[in-house]
Amino acid sequence: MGNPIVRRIRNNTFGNGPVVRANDGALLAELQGNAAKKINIQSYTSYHDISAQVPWFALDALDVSTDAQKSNPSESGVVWLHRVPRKKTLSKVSMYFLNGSMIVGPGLKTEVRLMKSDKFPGEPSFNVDEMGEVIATFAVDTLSEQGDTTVAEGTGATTGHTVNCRAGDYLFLYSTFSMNEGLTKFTDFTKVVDAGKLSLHLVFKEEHA
Amino acid sequence: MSIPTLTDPAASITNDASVVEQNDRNIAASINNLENSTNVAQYKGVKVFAASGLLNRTSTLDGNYPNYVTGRLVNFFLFWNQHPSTSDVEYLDISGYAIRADSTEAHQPDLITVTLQRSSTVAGAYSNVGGITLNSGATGGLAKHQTTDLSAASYDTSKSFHRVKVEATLDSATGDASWQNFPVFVVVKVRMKSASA
Repeated sequence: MGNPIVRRIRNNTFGNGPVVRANDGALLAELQGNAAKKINIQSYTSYHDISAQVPWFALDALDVSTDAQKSNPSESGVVWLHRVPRKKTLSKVSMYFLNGSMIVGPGLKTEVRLMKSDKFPGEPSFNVDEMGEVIATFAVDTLSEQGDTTVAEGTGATTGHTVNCRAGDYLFLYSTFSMNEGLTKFTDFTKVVDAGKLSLHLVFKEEHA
Repeated sequence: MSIPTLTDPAASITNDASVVEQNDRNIAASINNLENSTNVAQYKGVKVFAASGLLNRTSTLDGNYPNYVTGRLVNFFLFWNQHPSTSDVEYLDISGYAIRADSTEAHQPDLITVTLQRSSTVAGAYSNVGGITLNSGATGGLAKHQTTDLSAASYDTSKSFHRVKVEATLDSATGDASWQNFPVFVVVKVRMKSASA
């Protein structure tokens, strides 16, 4: 369906039935046809959502070892992944910590990044640029702190985006962690692993199919 | 699109054919720019939020570290920040069921309450929208699929943060208040409607 063509009706031609009828016929044809998105419908996209509760650092997804020092921060992992089934636009990202409050010891840095790539992130690298495009980040950084840091319930943010995703793209949460040199509080990190759950909510826009 | 303006040709004493022509043009323009709220009869899509999880007491960690499930209450079993948060958003229903994980029939919670809540801030305070109650003593037990219609609840544009809270009561049959031996698997689904954009 497209734009109906309305013919000009000249003055003093009210009796000229064929022109009037042709115009009405053109309008009728449009109404009987299928309204096409982009051409006829102003709002032709819908929102849909993905919501998940994801551990920041799934132990079985990470290479966790005691030598995860800041100078050699090779420990990382993909803890959540979504393969985009069809073309759509990521419009909003919510990443929050909602498990009550949590105390994190000094000297740790944990980052969870929502990323996009057209390649399967099968081999996590600490070089974030190699992994793909960073869309949003949730972080707890106590590297420069002297004492414990309290992470309050509700820590995090909702951010707006216009990230175009093609069918087959991968959206994933990529976690990295590091510690200050000489830190022996490895058990503190494992507590963060156990307690840290990220509430993830993504809002997408896509065309009506 | 707005409703097309149509002028009565009979009012034209000069036999001005452009009145008829303009009417047709206005209709044509309207057809070409349909608005979902005024021109499309059914313009809302159904949004489905779902979650499943095991309510299982995990071992206590040293220090002030919360567990995912401490005992019987999970405040954020399911969470989302509704977008767009507009007045034409609608609630449809909430449904769910549970399956006891222990092989002994008596080893299950008496009740599991599943409540949809909303708030203006992410950390609360949350107020109830509606919910379901799964009753181990009722016909079908916890596993009976329950649905509550939420269509009567109007959406509050100032409260976009939503969560589903799940709470299981202890088993009165055994009187075991610790409950840790009676894990239960819970499945929840919330349906909403929102407009095209």
